[in-house]
Amino acid sequence: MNSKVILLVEDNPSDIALTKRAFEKSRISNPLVVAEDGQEALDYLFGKTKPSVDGALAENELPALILLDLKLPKLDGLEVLQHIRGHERTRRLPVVILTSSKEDRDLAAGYDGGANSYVCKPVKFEDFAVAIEQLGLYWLVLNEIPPKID
Amino acid sequence: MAIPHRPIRGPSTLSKLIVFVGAAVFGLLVLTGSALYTLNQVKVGGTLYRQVIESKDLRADLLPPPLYIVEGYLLAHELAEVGNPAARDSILQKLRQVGGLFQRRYAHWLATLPPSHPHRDILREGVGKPAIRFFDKVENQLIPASQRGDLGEVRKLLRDSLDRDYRLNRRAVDSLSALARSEVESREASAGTTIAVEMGALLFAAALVIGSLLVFAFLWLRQVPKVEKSLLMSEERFQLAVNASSAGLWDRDLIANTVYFSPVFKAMIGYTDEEFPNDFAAFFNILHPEDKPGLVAAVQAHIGSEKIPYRAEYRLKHKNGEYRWFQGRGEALRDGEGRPYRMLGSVIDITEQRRAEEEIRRLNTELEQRVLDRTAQLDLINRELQAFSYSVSHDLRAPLRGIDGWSLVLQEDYADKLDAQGREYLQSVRSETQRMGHIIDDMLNLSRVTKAEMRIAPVDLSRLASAMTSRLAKANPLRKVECRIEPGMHVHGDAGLLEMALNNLFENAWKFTSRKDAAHIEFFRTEGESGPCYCLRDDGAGFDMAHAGKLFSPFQRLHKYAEFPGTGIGLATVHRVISRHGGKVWAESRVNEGTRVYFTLPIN
Repeated sequence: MNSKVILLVEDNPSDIALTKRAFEKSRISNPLVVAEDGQEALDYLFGKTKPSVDGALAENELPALILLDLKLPKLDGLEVLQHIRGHERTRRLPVVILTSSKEDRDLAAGYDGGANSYVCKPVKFEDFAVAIEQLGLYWLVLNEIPPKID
Repeated sequence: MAIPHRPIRGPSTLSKLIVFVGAAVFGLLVLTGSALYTLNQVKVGGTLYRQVIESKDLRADLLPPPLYIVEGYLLAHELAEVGNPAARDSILQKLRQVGGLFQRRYAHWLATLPPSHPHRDILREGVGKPAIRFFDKVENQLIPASQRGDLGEVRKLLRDSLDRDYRLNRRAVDSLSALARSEVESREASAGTTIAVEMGALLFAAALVIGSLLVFAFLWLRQVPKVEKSLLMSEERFQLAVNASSAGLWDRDLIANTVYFSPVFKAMIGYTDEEFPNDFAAFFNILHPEDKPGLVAAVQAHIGSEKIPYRAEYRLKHKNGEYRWFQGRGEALRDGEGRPYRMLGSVIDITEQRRAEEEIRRLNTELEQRVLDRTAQLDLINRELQAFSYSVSHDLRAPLRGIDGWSLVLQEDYADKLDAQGREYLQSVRSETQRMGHIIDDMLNLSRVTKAEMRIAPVDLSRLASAMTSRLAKANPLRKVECRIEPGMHVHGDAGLLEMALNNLFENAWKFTSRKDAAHIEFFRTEGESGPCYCLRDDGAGFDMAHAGKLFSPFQRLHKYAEFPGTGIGLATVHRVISRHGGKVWAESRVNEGTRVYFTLPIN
């Protein structure tokens, strides 16, 4: 389980810190790689940059789960999703949209773009922590990881 | 102005008429001729008559009438020659027969002829007396002598006495016959005259028929001049119209190529009747050059085909130099062959009308432009609003989550460094944050109600309401609320929006009855002033009707937050939902006596 890297694509430092805290509180100790904009996320996924954190991917490795915010600098979440689904190697990656928006058009665009799940971040931190915990449990424990594409 | 005119019957009709009358006259002549021919055959002296008379004459010649005693005379002479007694008796018998026949015929004629008849004397004195004497002598002297065989006596009687009687009779018969012949001739003549008169009468009758036919034909032919007359009348009417009408009129003779403009028309363009000549040049002089081709084309088109009405609008230069707009209408008069020979028309000044139309057009264009501008502005505002709510949705919640999250971090990690009051303040920060989150959610909902596209479908309000009350009951298991929902309230509307509205209403009812030990909530259909309406009644806190006006405006609250928490957006959302369905929503309440919220859904 420890080897399964979680990629968090999020630009809000407060949310990054609180998400990390929520994971810690839920005792989910998987390495958490953070990309602070869409471009950074893609560079990470396609091996162009090596993030300084301990979540560096081995050759041909991919994260087990991507938590993707929609509103991001440079490339937004939907564009990132489009790239992920558009590339042979990454097209089966589990992507959960984790965002503040409950707008219908965001929901529709997220699912249309091939998101595996859509979760709205609650304002109340307890609720948010519960959501993160359940996400981790579900996607990292319960859910079977899709087979690798070579 | 419409110029009345009747179509003129052309020569084609005239020739048809002549042919018809000719045929009728010819037929009559043939009939009369044949009648005359027949009459000619039958009349006295005519072919048939002549034949009949001839045969009669012949018979008369061959068969002597009984009044003429020649047969008796001849028989008497035969008697003188015959010696054989048998032959003698046969002759005697014949003699007696002839005598008897004479007696009968003589008596007949004496009875037939009236006493005054001129022939009667000759008949009695000339014909009758010698014949009677003759037959007396035959009976009393000749026959006895013959029977005695005294032939000398017979011959003597024949020579001396019978011969004289026979000659007397013969003379009288001749004269009577001459008289009768002349009489017949005179009668024939009179009959001829009669027939001639009758024939004349027939001819007269025929002439009368032919004459009346001719008169009839003539009268019929006179219709052409009559049509001319009606044209004259229409011209008179036209003149009247010219004088009376406020429209200017013109009259164009297409054959002589002349034109007449009415004084009213000339006045319209600022001229007196004398100032403006009745000719085309004067007209084209003042016609706006741009309008000439159109006008000429319109006139030509109408002259070419009566199916194309003549209507034209053109500018004429007023005497004062200003161009004014005119509308012309007209009609060509056509002869029996459809050839136009004259055209009449009216002209009205439509300058003001055109100006008004122009103004309306300008205003319309302006209005359209304004609408376009406004729509564009509205679009822009809408897009800005959407962007606004989008960014509210995305960006406003994130810092709230941060505030709430870090407050919780403080509570969790630094609780020991805060005293009770500090921890209470921190709790206030968090509850305010969460309230702010609710406000944002409600605001986004409200804007969604306005933006959302309506999908009208059947909605079961009763079922929706039941689902809500059971959900509320489950969420608040300690509350004792009795809910009564009228079943079968089926309406048409947008299910999502109606659910949102009902949700707000039921949550309110639930909330405002929260201070009662046993609350009652009822949802039912009732009759309002303008048809059916739906009512949600609770027996909760109620409100002062003095503030009812604020009830459905966003962010307006009638209760303290501490009493009944809320964002003040719920009823505003209900109001928008019902408005979007074309309905109304209102509330009746009294403090501590509960509230009734009514709404209508006229979409049904």
